[in-house]
Amino acid sequence: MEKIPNIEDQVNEALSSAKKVQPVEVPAFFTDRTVNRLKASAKEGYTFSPTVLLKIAAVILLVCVNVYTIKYVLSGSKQDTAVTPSVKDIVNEYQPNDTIELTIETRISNE
Amino acid sequence: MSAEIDINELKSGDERAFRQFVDAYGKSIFNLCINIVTNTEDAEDLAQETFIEAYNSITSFRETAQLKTWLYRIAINKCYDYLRWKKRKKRFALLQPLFNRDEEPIEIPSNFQHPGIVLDNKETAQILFAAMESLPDNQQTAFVLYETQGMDYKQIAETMNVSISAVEALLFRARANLRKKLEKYYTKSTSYKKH
Repeated sequence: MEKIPNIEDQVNEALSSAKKVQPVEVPAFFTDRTVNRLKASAKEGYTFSPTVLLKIAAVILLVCVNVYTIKYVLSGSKQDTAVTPSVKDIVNEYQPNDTIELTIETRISNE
Repeated sequence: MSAEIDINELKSGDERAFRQFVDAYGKSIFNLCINIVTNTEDAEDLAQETFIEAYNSITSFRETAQLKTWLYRIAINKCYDYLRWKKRKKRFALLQPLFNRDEEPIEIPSNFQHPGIVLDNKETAQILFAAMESLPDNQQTAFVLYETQGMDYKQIAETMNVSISAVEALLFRARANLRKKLEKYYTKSTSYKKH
């Protein structure tokens, strides 16, 4: 049967493996490539790629939609408050009078 | 080493000074990058970007600080920006949960390529580096600088712009977290072997 190593030993071995990492030499022509890249980036300047432009457009669109929605909601709530009827409006609309109350009272007294 | 580099020439945009600058610090910056991103191509790319950014912002460099420390800071930020971008891409692709970082299992990257790791140490080092990737950035930085770059507490404190006691705490927490993750990993792999 295959012997299963102790977990604690495995953990310690893994932790100590960081110390065994050897320093690496830089890839060949690293300096030349870096200089070339620097020159290329200096030539490019600040240009926007189509992806970046698309992202900016999407953000602007999102902001516009949000502003429109907020405006719409706010104007809607203003309209609601204007339409909400007051007690006076209800009285004027239905014009309740005392006769209903009297009828009920007469009925009770008759009973 | 920094005495050989003429900052004023570098600031004036002299190409020869830039070449000298890359020659002087290229190896240490490349090694730092490869120990964080564990891939030769990515490390070379990030090391180059580090030098370009340093060159472009050399005017903001205060000569009271060490040039090497300043470069290390730029490189560390570049590496973690890159790793965050890579993780974000992977998360969106696999729709993994976003908030349980501690519970993330150790996942050995398919593109692991570190020429500084000798063959007999490769498997364990691969597991350790994969576990390191799931540590919080500051703990991973402290661990990499101490264990693989051979820096002392003072140098790490200067590079990370924290106190020495903070470095000690970061290293303590990094080791404890790594131990926990590795124990979990080995327990799981041992139980697989048993079955």
